[in-house]
This record gives sequence, C-alpha cells and structure tokens, in this order.
Amino acid sequence: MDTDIPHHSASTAGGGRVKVCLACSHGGHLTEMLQLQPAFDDCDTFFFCYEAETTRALPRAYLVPNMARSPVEFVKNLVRVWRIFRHEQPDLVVSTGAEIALPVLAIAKLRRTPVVYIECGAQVAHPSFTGRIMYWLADEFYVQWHELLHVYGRRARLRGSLIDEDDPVGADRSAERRMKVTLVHPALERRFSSDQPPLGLAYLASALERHGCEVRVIDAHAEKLCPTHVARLIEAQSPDMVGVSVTTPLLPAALDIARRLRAHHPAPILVAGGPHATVLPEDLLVAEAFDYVVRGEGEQTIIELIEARLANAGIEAVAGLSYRGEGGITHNAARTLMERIGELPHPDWSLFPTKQYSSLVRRNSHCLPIATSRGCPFACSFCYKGISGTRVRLRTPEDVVDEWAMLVERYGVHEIAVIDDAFTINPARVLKICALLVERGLNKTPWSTTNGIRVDNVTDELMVAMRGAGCYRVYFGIESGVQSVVDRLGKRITLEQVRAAVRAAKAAGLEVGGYFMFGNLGESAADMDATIRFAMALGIDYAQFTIATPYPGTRMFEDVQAQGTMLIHSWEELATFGRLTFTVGDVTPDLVARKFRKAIRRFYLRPQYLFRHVRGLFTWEGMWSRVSGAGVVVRLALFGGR
Amino acid sequence: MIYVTVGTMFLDFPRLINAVDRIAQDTGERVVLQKGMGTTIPKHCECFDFKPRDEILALQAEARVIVCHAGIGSVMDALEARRPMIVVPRLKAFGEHMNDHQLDIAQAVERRGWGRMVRDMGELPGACRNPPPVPHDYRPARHRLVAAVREMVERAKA
Repeated sequence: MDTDIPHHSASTAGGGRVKVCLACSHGGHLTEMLQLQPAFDDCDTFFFCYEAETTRALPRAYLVPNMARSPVEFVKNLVRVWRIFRHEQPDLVVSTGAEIALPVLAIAKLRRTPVVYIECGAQVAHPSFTGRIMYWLADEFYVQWHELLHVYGRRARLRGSLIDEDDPVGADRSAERRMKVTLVHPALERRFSSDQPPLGLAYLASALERHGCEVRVIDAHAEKLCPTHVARLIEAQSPDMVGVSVTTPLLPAALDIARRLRAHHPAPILVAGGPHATVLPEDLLVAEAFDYVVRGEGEQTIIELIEARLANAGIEAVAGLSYRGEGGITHNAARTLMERIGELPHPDWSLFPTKQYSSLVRRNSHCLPIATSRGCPFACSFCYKGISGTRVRLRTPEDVVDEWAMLVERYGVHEIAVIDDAFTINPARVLKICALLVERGLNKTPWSTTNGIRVDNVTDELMVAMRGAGCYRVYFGIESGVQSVVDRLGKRITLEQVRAAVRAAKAAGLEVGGYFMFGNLGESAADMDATIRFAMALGIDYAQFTIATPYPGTRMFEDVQAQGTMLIHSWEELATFGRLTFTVGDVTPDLVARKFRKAIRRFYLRPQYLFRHVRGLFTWEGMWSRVSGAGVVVRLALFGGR
Repeated sequence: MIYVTVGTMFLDFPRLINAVDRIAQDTGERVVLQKGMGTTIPKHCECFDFKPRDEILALQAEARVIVCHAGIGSVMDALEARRPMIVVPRLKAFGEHMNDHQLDIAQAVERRGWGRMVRDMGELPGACRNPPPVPHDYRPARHRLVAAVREMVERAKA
C-alpha cells in the first residue's frame, strides 16, 4: 500500500534535531501518542501507523495495512520498516502500542536505536500481548497504572500517566481508611557511629498508630541496610506513605531511597521530616524525590496531611507542611510547638530492632531513650533548635514514670538514657520523678543523662536523689576549659560551676562524663591544650571529645559561612567523625585532628586512669565494655576518627 | 439528560443499550446514545452511531450524568467533562468484548472515587437517579509522563 517514501521527508535530521519514530495503531493508541506530542516539540517526527480514517490526516506518516491477523503482513512490515529506517535514520522510537510496534522493535534492535514503550492506558491490571514482549526488549518500559507495576517486574516503571493521578492512594484506600505507613531511618556509612534509637520516629509511629494507621519501621542505620535494600523491603510492604527521617548527613541516603521508591514502585506518598528537612526543605523537594516535607514537630502535621489526602481535600491549611506543586515549592505557615506533649502516646518500640542499638556512652547495650521534656531556652551556637524550639515543655513526673515503667516492664531494657535537652531545668520536677522511681521500685534499672545536663543547676540534693533513683552516670556539657570560648558558644555557664557540679556528682557516688568540643570559633592551639588539661584536672571518669560540626540552621553554621570556609563537598561529609569540616582563621582540620588525638591519649592513657579501670575487669560485662572501650580509645588516639 | 456511549468497539452492547432504553421509557428523561457499530436499536433514546468530537464534547458537557462502557477513551472523556460517571464494563461472558480488561478499568475508576461501576443492569436506574459525586480535582499525571519521554529525547540527542 502506501509505503513509498514521502518525497518531502527526504532530508534527514540535521542541525542537531532529534528524529523520533512514533509507532502506534489507530484508535486509542494514537490518541495517547498525540497527547505526548509536547515531548517532541523541537524534534523531527514521523508516524508509523495502520491505514485508517484517523491516521490519514497525520502530517508525516507511513501507513501500512493492519497485520493483526496476518503473519505475511508482519514479514512484509519488517521489510517496510527496514527501508523506512534506512531512509529516515531515527534516533529514537516511541511507541504506545499495540502489535504494530513489534516489527519496529525488531528493526530498531538491529540498528541499536533506543525504544521507549508506553503500555496503553487501557491495560490497568493485566499486561498486553505486545507489552509482554516489549517488557524484555524495549530500553524503557513504562506503565500507566500502579496496579500493573506488580504484574510486570523490575524493568517496568511508572513515570506519570495520561489517565491516572499522581498517586491513587487517597481514593484507593478510602474505603478502609487505614493508611499503611512505613517510617524509615536511613543508614549512614561511617565508623564509630553509635546507633541511637530514633526517638522522634518512635513518637511518630505511636501517634500514627493511635490515629488508626498501620505502621512499620525500617531502621536502616541500626540494621545496616543500603538504600537498594530499603527500597526492596518497602516494595514488599507496599505502603501508602513512606516517612523518612533526615538529618543533614543522611540527606544523600534519603534522596536515594526516595528516588528508588518513585521509580520502582506504586509510588507511595513520600514525606521527609527531621532537622535537615526543616531547615532546608527545598533539598528534599527536588524533582523525582519527596512529595512533602514536614517541618518541625511532626506528629500533628503528618496526621493532618493523611486526613487531607484521605478526604481528597486541600493541604493549604496543614501547618508545617512544604510541598512541590505545579508552580514550584509552597511552604505552609509554620506549626506552633505542641503545648501538651504529655498527651502524646508513649513511643512504640515494638516496631524497632531494639536489640541492634549500641553506644559508646552507655554501660548496657539493651537501652532505650526517654525524653521527659522538649525544648531548651538556651542558645548554644552548635545546637539546632528548629524542631523542639526554645520554649521548654515539661511532662508531668507521673507521665514520665509511666513510660519509664513501660520501658522496663514491657521492653525489658537493661538501661535507660535520658536524652532531654534540658532535663534539670526545673530541679523540683526531677526530684519528684526520682521519688516516684523509688516509690515504684524502678530505681533498680540503671540510667544516665546521655545528652548532657547543665552544670548551673546541679545541687547536692539533686545528685543524691538521682543516684538513689538508679542514675549511675551523669554527663555534663562542658565544651571547653577556657571561659572565653565557652562564652562565645553561648553556653552561659562558668568553669567554676563545672567544677562544683563535678564535685557534687562525685560526692553522690555518680560516675561523671564530660562533653568537650574542639574546633570552636576563635579557639587557639593553646586554648585546646587548656581544655585537655581542664578535662584531666576535673577528676571525671569519661571525657567525650568531639569536633565542632556546623549543622545548617545553627548559629555556628552561620558563623562559619560568614568568617570561614566549609571544606566539604556534600552534606554526607558533615558526619566525618573526627575531622573538622571547615576552617576559620587559625582553626584548621589538621590542628584540630592533632589536638583531638592528643586529648584521647592524654586523658585515657594516663596511668591513674588505666589503673582505676583495672577494677572493672572483674565482671564479664565490665570486662567487655572496657576491652571494647580500650579498642576505641586506641583507634581514636592513633587515627583520629577517620 | 443522560448521555450514553458504548465507544468505537465493533461488538454490540445490547445489555447496556436495552437498559438505558428502559430508563428513557420509564422516567421520560432525555437519553442520548452513541451506539457505535452495534445492531441493537433503542426505541426511546436519541441515537446516533458516531459524531465529530466537538459535538460529542458538547453533549457530554450538557449531560446530567454520563453512562459509558469502560473503554479508556470514554472514561477519560467523562473525567475531563467533569460530570458524574457510571461505567459499565463490557464483559467477555456476554460477547461484548474479547477479554475482560474493561473490568480492570471499571474497578480502577471505582477505587479512585472517579465514578461508579455498574455490572448488574438492575442497578442502573438507581445509579442514574443518584449519580456518584464528581471528584473535585482530577489531575492526571500527564505532564510527568511527557517529561519522562522528553528525558529520553534529550538522552537520544546526547
């Protein structure tokens, strides 16, 4: 029939224009192809179609007889396509089906022309005959309904649809109203990372469960799962929504997971939260990544988002939400801090791999955290306040001790870590908590204040009460042995208060740990040496030396931006434990690394210190923790954190 | 007015045509039927085989409710027309189609809240009396698919 080369097509693609062969049958397949035309705006295109009423008007088309029932026509079409391709030299084949695509595919394969096949919108849950072949041979294979992704396999992708909406969840599950949510804590690859149980996610999990959602948790960090593995697990769970917790170093991993989910999945609603998402939501809302960012405290925001989606309602009123729309990124108004945090359900740890967590700053491995308050009124330059805010919200002692009892009785923890930002801000409340712990017999389970408490409201009474309630170790945030450095950090404490607090804690029979930081702005080599001497003279049991890390959203970050130079290329490198990530004036990575190693050596490898710890070798647990601790000390002293 | 369409399929769809004919007879409501290539001729409907697309769109815009076979083109048209949609899948068992893919489409329509699926013709009069709601913002992910294809064009250029 009409297969002669149209004379006006004689010139082949020139001037860098891409030539695309559009292969489709008449009818619905053609309708779909025509809807894709904007993709070919600046291309030379030609159609390969069946002879029909609808195709005759096409501008540049090779029309062939219908070969649906004739193998002879199929063979003839192979020859026709060969001739056409030799003449047109297309750079790309796009087909929306149906079987007319098969001879084109065969010739394109021979000529190594890439083929994009888009399964027809009419195939919702069952593959088409042509699709089954194309699935294996086309270079890109797209379906238009998420129902079909499962039916095909990993090669199939859902990248938009001419008919279906972005994700069908709102309507899909509205009958049951039970949203399936998977919460993810991405993994960070680095040495010496301690796996803190992600308390924020645990709170979120319980809030969602109470709201009627079916919640699962993947703690990729604790279980050491790479993004590929995480995506595969989520694929098997087929949740409606995936929430990913994002701190700054986790950004690349979080984006990686989101992109995989979008490509290989009946794309769930993708939500990011956490510190980095709060400071820089734009980083998460890049193309093909997250749909929504929950800024600040997430419990209420994510529930309102789910409600809006289930009701098919607008999300403009959901405070604390940022999202990507047609016209760019929208940031809804900020969410105000939750006043009555005591009304939140207690964290559900049954969803977490609680045995997998470990830490350098605790005695026992089976340990879970508790936060008895949220927020802190102080403004230390290294601390990010965007989630919990500067207004302290305290839980009642009764509520705190109820959760404490749950951790001990239901989860059988061997230890509890109090991780408040401002645990002792109201000493009277801590005294009441301690009294209740004793009253309820919970003081047999050891606990410590691993996030560090302030030295300025430490009293003998408080230390004695805490010791009596089962606390075995307190950590103090000290940061430096030089008053002017401490002042610049905005700690608002004095070195004299530090000494007094350590004395009170030791007198009460508590072990004492101190947090120190190197690489502070304006710190000299002499200042760092002074810090080391100060740490040794305090008579504390542990010193955790850290290296200043300027996280986005902190004052330290702004200071470094203004006065110094960041030395990292990706946010992931912020987590390069043991190495300064910036330079300001005389404070350089090399200097800080030297002082860091010196601090470890001086503090831990002095004879008095080693001798004191020999006593601890007489129990199995004590021996193990000291042997592994010694390993860490030696590695840190020799190599720093790298 | 009820607008009914059975698409361009070459097989007849007497179940639906007879059912809407009865509705026209019983209720007296105006029923406009695009009957395509089938041989069943209704007595109480305004009936035509095919019409140009702009006329079809005008009819749909005028309709109180659209009753359509579950062909993907008809479903898309009804969604774009933003009119209550009742989908009646052509079934292989009745010789209305070669396979049951329209059942998948009709189920997808119902799951997403776009319209109502009717399989038993006894339910059709009730469904027409109380038509399902129109989804208040139907936004197909068309631009995303176009962007995906565009990406391949860009890659072919390189």
